[in-house]
Amino acid sequence: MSSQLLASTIINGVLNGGLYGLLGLAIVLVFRTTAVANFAQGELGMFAGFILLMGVLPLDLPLWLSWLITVAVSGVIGGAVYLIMLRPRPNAGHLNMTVRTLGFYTLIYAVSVYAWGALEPYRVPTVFGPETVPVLGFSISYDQLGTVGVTIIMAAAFLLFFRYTQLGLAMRAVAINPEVASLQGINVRRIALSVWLIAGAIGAIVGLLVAPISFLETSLMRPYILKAFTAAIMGGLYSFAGVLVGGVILGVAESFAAVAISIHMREPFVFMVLLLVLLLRPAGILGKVQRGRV
Amino acid sequence: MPGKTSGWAFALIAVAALAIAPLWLGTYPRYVISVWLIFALSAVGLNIPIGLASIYSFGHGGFMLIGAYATGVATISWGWPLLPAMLLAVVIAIAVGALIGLPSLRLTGFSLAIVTFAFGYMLFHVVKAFDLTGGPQGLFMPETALARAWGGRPLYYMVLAIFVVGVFWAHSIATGKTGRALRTLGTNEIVAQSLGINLLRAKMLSFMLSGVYGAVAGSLLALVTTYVAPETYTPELSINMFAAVMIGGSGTLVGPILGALFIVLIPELTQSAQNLSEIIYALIFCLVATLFPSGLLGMAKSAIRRLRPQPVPAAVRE
Repeated sequence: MSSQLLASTIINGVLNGGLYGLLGLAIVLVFRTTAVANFAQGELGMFAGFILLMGVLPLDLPLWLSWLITVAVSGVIGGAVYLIMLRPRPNAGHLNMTVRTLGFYTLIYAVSVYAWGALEPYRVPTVFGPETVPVLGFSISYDQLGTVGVTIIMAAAFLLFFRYTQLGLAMRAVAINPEVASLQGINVRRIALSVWLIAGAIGAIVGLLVAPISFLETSLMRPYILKAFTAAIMGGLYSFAGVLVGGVILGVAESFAAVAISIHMREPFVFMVLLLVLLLRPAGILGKVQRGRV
Repeated sequence: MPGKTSGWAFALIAVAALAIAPLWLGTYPRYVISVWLIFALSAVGLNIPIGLASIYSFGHGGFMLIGAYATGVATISWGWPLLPAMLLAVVIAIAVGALIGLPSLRLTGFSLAIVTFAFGYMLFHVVKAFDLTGGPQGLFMPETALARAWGGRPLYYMVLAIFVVGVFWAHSIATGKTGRALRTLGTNEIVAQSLGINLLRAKMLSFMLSGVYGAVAGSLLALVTTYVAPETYTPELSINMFAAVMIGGSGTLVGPILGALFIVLIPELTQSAQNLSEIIYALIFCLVATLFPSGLLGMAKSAIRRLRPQPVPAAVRE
């Protein structure tokens, strides 16, 4: 493997892995605070791509403003999902809640295929510009650089948010024990609503980062959702930093599998990495083993 | 539901109706009923880990894929007769089920669910990558004698017979020693362990049993649809199977069968709405999941309870 190929493989892996990690972050956040595995997390991102292209871009606003509007709209959608689909009958159990997200996943996909499926794929303009910069003999596009930059900024913002803001601390309290948190005066329902708002917004950011690199189509986020879940588990499900590390490891590993073994083995390889990590460290890369209680 | 006399009577009438119906029905309704019975068989099997042991399996489509592809490859490429091919499918599914069950002790419910999901996803990509399995096009099954003779009714009866055997086996598993062990560990693992239940064995067994059901259903599906394509066995199939069990009512015998009817019939019924069909299906899916957490069966039971006159307390009667 030439050093050039090696470097581009690593960069591709880190790029994708950061996106898995970011999406995984939203999954972990929702899972920790509401104990729901959000299967619709990826489709929120796909839908955001279409909101941008079909709803916001025709308004002819500056591109960065269109981006922000789309992210906000997607956040509102996330909140609406919580209010409409998860708020009713809250005692139904976590498994039923997860089935509801599956229902929403089916719905949002069906609506997108109905509305836009016939003419896909679409080209989405990038905010970062089409230029490339030469680095060490190969070229990196502004797109890729921008994606890595946004991922790092988002991840840092997240970690700071949970450490230093009141809302972030309240979310962590709810994640650890909802009953104790509510006894301390935290409105658990409002926290759950804000968590879903954030999940919608993160979904949109990931969707808008992916859409210009590959073409926008209704199946855009299908490959991402499983890997985001995998990254979340590799990170131990309880650590925000662990998810990002898990995502990057996964991205680099699959990138190498595609180059070194075969492009067809890229997807099966994800499963092997997941199994390997779980066999060696069942509690995740940065996770602590939790003992069962009687 | 069987166990009470009324339950057995209901089961007998249902089977009799399903046995007589194809004498009059045309090819298309028979095809739809066959597909329903196949999905119902698969869902009844998936109910073993989900409904009894509370182990969330999102990879059931993977077992159906194993069944379909093992049957397809063995009959087409190796020229095996049908029965050994189906046996091969079952044997592979048992081995794979054991393999998936292995890490189940070390993992929490959510992680295990994602491992099963990833398993189905991996198989979907593997069969697309190899020539033996027909690559992205898949395999075309040759028309069997079962489908040729008497307008294809023998195939229908074979599906019905296997379905009936499968449901009764599931009933005896659920009410027998295995079922009790699985329900105990589903409620509390530590209690189950203290009662002498081998957790690893029980969990592996639940995956192996659901694998057998999935594989048989998959190979029947290959026979009925006469074609094995990767697009049939996407991760969405696993999600739909999971939804079928949950929408019907997990932990019951009739629930998964009802749920399978839901996922097979609604897309067929709304076909005239063309592109809207998927949206209607998804909307009903969301409504049922949100409004009736205990599934269609729970919904029917509470409706019956409401219709029945409430017994008046003795004190009021006097």
